[in-house]
Amino acid sequence: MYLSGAVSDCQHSSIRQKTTSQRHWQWILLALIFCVAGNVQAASEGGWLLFPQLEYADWPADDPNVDHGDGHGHERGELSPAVDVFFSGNFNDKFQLLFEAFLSKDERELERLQLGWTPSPGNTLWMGRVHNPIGLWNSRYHHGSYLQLTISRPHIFEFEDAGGPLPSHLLGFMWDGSIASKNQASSGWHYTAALGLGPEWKDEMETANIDDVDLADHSPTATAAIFYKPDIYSDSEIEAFVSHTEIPIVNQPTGNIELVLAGLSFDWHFDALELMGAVVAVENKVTEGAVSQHGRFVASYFQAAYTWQTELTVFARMGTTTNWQHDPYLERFPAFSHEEKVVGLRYEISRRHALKLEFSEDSFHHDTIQHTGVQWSAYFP
Amino acid sequence: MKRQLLTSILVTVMTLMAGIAPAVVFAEQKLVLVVSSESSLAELKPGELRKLFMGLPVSKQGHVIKPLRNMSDERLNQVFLQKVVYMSEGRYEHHLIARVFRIGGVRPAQFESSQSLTQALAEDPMRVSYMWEDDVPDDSNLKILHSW
Repeated sequence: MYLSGAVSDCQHSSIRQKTTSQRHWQWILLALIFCVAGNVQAASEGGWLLFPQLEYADWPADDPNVDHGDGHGHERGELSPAVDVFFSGNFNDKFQLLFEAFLSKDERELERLQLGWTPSPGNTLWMGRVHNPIGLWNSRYHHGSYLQLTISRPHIFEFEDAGGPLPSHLLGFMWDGSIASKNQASSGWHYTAALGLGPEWKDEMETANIDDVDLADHSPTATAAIFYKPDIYSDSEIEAFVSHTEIPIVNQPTGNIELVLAGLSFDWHFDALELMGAVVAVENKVTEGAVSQHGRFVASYFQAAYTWQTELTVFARMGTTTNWQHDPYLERFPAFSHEEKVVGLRYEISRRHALKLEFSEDSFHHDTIQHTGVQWSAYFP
Repeated sequence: MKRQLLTSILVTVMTLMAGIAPAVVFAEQKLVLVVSSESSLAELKPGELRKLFMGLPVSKQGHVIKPLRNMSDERLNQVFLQKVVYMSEGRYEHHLIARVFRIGGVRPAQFESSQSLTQALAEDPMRVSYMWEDDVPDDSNLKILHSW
């Protein structure tokens, strides 16, 4: 049942429109990267991947002017095509280039642009715009829709521009390392440490972009994560992470948001059964002028999936958030769904194409909506 | 009379089948692991080999080993997946894509023709691939590291 929400159309449009400035420089940079990547491909090793998707989402809405969306950034009743363009290449086994851009009707964003130095196999120092390693969902899937089982992301790991409250990118350095990665080892520990510029707050949370970063408007973000895989050949994995972020409020000289996160995330496979989940504790302090407010909430989700004959998968997910009602930080995210229930099906049409159908119920500050989504996703080549 | 005719037909058919049978049985083909004859690689253990083709880093004598996939023969590819990777093709591809998307690196290079594969192997002593034993050219610069 859809009830009138408390969010204005103006706010909604600001949620959907990621880019406020014209990013011409971004596209010039993209063109350069394409050229460099082309040469890398010819001279060394590398490859492109395309992750196209076509999505349709719908939900009942009594008043189209008062709408915070479905909590996942979809357009209601519209067919939304999008593609994630990805390149990864190696130069002489020591240097790497990774590039990812997401293109849709409303968004053209350089997701990742990383230059890497690999002093030894399994250990790489990255520089550039990277994924913040908070949770397996953020590290593994991001805009590669085909790779994730469901259409939607868990509420706590939703993208910033779709109502997600956690910073999913940073601009700086990231070290990916392996612990005791012997050639014969069948289990493994890995870790990631990232340090860079986090987001800023301008009506909404905006991540640091390579083309328009203003050092004065961004503060450091630091994240550390450790991963354990009981079997390096399986997708089972557990991750623990901590992160500290400062988010300057741009239009207020003394405005600042401080976030401290700690979380645990897992994905476990038992033959055809997959269990996935995360718990994230967030402590925050929002300072505006002389007033500081503290908040603390815990968000979690749990997802179970069962696959028949490697083709048909049925899944269900539940997510919830504690202390969301008067949290000074979460109040800034009208499109954040503090509680979600999701069920759906995924069918592998062929080896590289999947069709997903999903029904969900998302609860917001003042209302709850039921949402239906259909998505085709694939990868090439 | 009728019984004798039936017996004769049966014997004739059986004789013909016996004669044809050896021709329709496929000769058993051996899968072999190959490198350049100039390569210093002497051995790759099954665990290392699986790791290598799963996209994980494997190094020997301070050099990174590079896997090449032989896609010239569908049956060869299936046998390789069964004996080395222990995964279905779909799952294997998914694993490679997911790994590269997450942490970078490259998927094993694929070769559609034996000729181009042989040439690529000869160019770099740290490249490793697989083929049918019968397909290893006599005059090539390849050496067999392992056979199944």
